[in-house]
Amino acid sequence: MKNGVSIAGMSEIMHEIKGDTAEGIFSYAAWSEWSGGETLAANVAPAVIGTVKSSRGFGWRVALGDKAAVSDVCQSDWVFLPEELALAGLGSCALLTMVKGASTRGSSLEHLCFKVKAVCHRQPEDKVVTALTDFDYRVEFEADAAGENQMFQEILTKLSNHSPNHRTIAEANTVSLCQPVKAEIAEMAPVSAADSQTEIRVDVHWEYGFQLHAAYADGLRRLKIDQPKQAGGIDKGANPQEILLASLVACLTRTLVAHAEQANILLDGVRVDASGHVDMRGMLGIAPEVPSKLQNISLNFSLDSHADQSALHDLIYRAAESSPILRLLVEKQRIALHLYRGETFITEFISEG
Amino acid sequence: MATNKQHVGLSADGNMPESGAQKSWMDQLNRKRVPGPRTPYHHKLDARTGCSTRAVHSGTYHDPVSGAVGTPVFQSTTFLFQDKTYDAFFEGVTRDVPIYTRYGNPSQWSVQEKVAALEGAESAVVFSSGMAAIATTVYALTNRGGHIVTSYDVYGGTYNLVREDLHQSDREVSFVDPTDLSAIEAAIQQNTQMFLFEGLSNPLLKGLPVKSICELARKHNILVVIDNTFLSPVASRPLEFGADIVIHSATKYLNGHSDMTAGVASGSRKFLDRIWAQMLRLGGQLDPNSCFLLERGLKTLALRMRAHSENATAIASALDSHPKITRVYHPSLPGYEQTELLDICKGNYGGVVSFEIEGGDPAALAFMEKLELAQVATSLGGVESLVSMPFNTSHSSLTERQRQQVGIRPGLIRFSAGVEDQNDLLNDILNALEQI
Repeated sequence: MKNGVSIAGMSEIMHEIKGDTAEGIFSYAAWSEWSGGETLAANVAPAVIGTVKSSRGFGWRVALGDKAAVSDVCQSDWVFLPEELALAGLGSCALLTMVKGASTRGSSLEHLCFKVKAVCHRQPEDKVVTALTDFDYRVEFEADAAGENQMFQEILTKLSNHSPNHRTIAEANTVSLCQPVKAEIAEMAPVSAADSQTEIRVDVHWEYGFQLHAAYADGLRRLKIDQPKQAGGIDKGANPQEILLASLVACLTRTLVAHAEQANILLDGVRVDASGHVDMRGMLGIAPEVPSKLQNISLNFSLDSHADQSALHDLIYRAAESSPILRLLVEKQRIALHLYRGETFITEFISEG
Repeated sequence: MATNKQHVGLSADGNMPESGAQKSWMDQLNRKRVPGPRTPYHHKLDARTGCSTRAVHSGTYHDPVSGAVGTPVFQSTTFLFQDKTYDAFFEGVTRDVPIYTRYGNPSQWSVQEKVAALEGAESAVVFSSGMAAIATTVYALTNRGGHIVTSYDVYGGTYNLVREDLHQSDREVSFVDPTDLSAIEAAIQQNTQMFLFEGLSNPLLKGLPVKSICELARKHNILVVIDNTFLSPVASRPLEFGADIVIHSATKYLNGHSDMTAGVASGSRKFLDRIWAQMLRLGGQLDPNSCFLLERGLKTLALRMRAHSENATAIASALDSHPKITRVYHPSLPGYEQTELLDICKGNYGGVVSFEIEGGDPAALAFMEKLELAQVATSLGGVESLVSMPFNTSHSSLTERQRQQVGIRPGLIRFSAGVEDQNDLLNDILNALEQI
């Protein structure tokens, strides 16, 4: 065991995938549900890790408005924003990739934290989020003497080429709408220059093995992150791909409800399902031609309403076109990475599609 | 006196990932899953050898110092540390190097290798009981929030585990008729992770449609775990039909002498590594002396199963037309409904035969009292014949209605035919029937 990670386990999974590509398809899913009120539920659905199903019982409350909710009494009162989930999904995936890289090279980590920032664009009048751009990771680590700075620079470069969620936002993607409307979304309308810009941030801390937590600026809310036990984790939390998909369904539900309100369409309930898979051959470096990113991202919508079908279909299109998380997946993003050993700056570079 | 460095020790076949600064990414790690664990001194037989040959020779530890023909008993809890031991800790290959008997012991590896060879598996783990094997497997291969489909007439110990314990770790369970494929399919949920069934049911000997169940499971990414205690690998090897894990209460046929308690799970190295890791946390490993007994018992498994099956089949045939017997349950009889089992087992159905005695439970109790060879006791699979009634033993916790639902009718007897002479057993049974 190195850093709480079984090197043998990683190696065995890698060779198993090399021998059978079906073992390398890790499929994830999330769904959201709203039936009135100021929050919605975003949940993780069962995953399929290669050929084995993994039950996943994780979920969060997400705000319909622009304010997260914090309680120092009850964790069940915590309310997140879709953008906060997305940043946790990105930072945690990159951090896990770094833990795997350091463990492979035999370096013992003492500390590892990804401080993830992005610019949040909002419409000036109604504060509706329109986009997340200009991502920035400040990576802080401490390691034993075996972990030389040069080694960590190389791992950071590898990470920018192989971390699935990092690659998902660094590259352009097509997202499929499947039910009840069929469409492929491969581009979005430009963001208005008049939008206001604020900074959004999350710090992702490594605990041990594949267990992490995302901590938000309020100092109270935390989000537990882990891999399924079928993939080497201990099921303490959702995994980074699941969190990214959860941010997507939460965002789409939020925009659907907002657009319905604007259009005077009465909705009794909304459910959005998202799924996608990672072909682990890309992440593991087994097959250079295989993308590391989340692939085949598809969406299903179910709207409980007496409004006519064409109005509801139009509502889905408009929600998809204005979802900042969908935009994040469809458009290429620019990500700045800065590496620090403790407080000492080592290197920085820009990662782009 | 030899120092640790001088000690040659045992080196398992396991390869090392060889992590280190020279490995730029995960694709350069070396370790693949290997069958076992086993050392170069454990006898590995060609898979084309026959069942009896594998039962005798597979896994035998050929001691390089003494030349002992049989496996020595490695009655030691701990093993000398060598460089390889430390590497095993760092690289995560502690299942393949002797460190501590809960982790692994060459005595365990011998008997595990023998069972794996008999089942056609890559790997096996032995436990202190069949229930330890079942509980550890279920916890290892399902997650919190998962769902398991099992049989409504599953063995009482398993029933108690899945009904009383699993919900406490947030796992749901559905109970179905295991011979009804459409009922099994209807029970599948989005979170269904495991089918947990018995190859031949207790006590009514209903045969599982194992091939069809495995095909259904594959479509839904569901793991199939088969408790094959009643049949043994001589009669049926579910891994060949697509099952993922086979479990035995090794207390029964595998050991066969009613003198020790053990369990075993076998399957792919991938799943057995997970089950082994769960076993480390729950405990439940088999001690080396019991491994010796189990390995010795297994050497005669094929011989014993032939005798058990021939005796049970003869008893079934003799009782089928007996005026004091209202019904006999045995796969060899005409009209047996689960025909898939007949194709799989090819005449060997284990040693259990169940039958109902005219006059109900009082007559059945009187019948058992008149038996002279067969012992009235629970369990099965030993060389001696054992007889018991489900209503006051294995199924005593069920209500009358529940017993009717699973087919336990008044006067039902479960007879575990031993390996005694067939005529002696038949005479014992017929004499007892005559006296009631």
